[in-house]
Amino acid sequence: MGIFSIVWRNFGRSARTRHPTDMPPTASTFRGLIEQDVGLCTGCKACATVCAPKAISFDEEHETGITWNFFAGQCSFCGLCVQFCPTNAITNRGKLPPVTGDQSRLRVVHEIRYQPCAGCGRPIIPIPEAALEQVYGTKLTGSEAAQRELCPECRRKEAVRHIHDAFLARGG
Amino acid sequence: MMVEIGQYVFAVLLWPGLLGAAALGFFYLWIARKLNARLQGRRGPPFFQPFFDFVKLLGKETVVPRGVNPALFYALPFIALTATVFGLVIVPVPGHAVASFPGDIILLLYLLEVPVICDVMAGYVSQSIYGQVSAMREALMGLAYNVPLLAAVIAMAQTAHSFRIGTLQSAPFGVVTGLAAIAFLVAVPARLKSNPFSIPNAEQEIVAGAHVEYNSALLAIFELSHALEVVLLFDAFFVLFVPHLDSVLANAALYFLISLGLIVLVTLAAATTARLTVKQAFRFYWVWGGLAAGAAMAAAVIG
Repeated sequence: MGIFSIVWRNFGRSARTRHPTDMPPTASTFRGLIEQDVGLCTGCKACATVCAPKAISFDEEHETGITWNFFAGQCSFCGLCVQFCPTNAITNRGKLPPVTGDQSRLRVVHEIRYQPCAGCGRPIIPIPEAALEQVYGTKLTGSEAAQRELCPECRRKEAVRHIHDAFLARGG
Repeated sequence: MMVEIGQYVFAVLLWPGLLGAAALGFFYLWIARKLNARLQGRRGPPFFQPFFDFVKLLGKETVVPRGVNPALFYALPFIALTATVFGLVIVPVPGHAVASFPGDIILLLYLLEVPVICDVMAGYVSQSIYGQVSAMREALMGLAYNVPLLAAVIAMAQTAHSFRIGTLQSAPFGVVTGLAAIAFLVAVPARLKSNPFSIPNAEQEIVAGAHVEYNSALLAIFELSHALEVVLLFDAFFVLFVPHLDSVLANAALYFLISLGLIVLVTLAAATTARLTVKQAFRFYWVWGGLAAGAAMAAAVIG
């Protein structure tokens, strides 16, 4: 009959479970929802490649640019995209996904816009200045900065011209 | 004529039928859940939780499992609900003056049994092994708890020499009433599938029992029917074993208090016991339930 004293004691005490509004603070290591800074994205697709549940995808059908699509309903919050993003465009700051049945609120679409190549005018996605700054540690200047806005083809031509100028033109 | 039809519609839809009993049933279920939680040191659900559960289920998409006869699948919850509602209507609870007719207690017993049969059939048609195990258990439990339940009613009928609820209600209060009430009470937890007799709907053991394949509004109707069954069983206890008071207000208060007492008793039994096996429960009802039944019957025959 010890059970009766147990339930009687429980009845007298306050509950040992917490109210939904009285939850403990989230741990500092809590990963949560990913956020993408479109200003740092190069469109390399590393995030889409490592994403196991295919929550991240790229859409290249558009005229004006490519889109980075994220669907939180499919995300397993593993953080691989954050780890693999070469320009640290993806971060997670422990934000909770919204509790909703409305799928559109779980979707994020960011457009990475094409820019015309400074040489030939073809649409390209240049490496964002901020991303290069992060890699080099300083602001780019001169020809290096100018090269950022070229397509791979024009950059190759530019490099060949450099070599030509350096070795042949000077010697000739 | 029109007034009479109006009264019938009122009785079926509002009080003591669908709406009033649903409110009461949800209230009792909330008390059971809240009290059970408090006894286990948990916080328990908010007041409107049974109602929220019901509304949430109404909004869900209905999925009929492959290989199941859809007509039967759709009909079973509604049959259970309709039987329970009509059972409620023939019981003279406070605020409901019903014309009692000979044999209405037998009709009440029959209507009390219909939801059980619907559950058993729901389990069998579900094409799920869990549903079929649950159906078998529920049918077996019916053979067990009906021993004291039917004996209690028969003992009361024997004393009053009548199968009319009206006559039973005004029968003098005596030893038989007490013994029959005890036999009836013994049967209540099993009839409500509450611990330690939560055998047919044993959660974590056979998933969701007979309702395992039920979903959406159909499951909601089953849940509603269960809430009404609680009210109907308490109604039956009230009219059979509780002395009738002349003042309507006092009678209503007594009705409410008795029902509250019953749900507290059932919850206390549920919180302090663990689930029995079918064999143990069956033995319990045929030994202790049988003893209670025998005592009530003997008192009725001698008295």
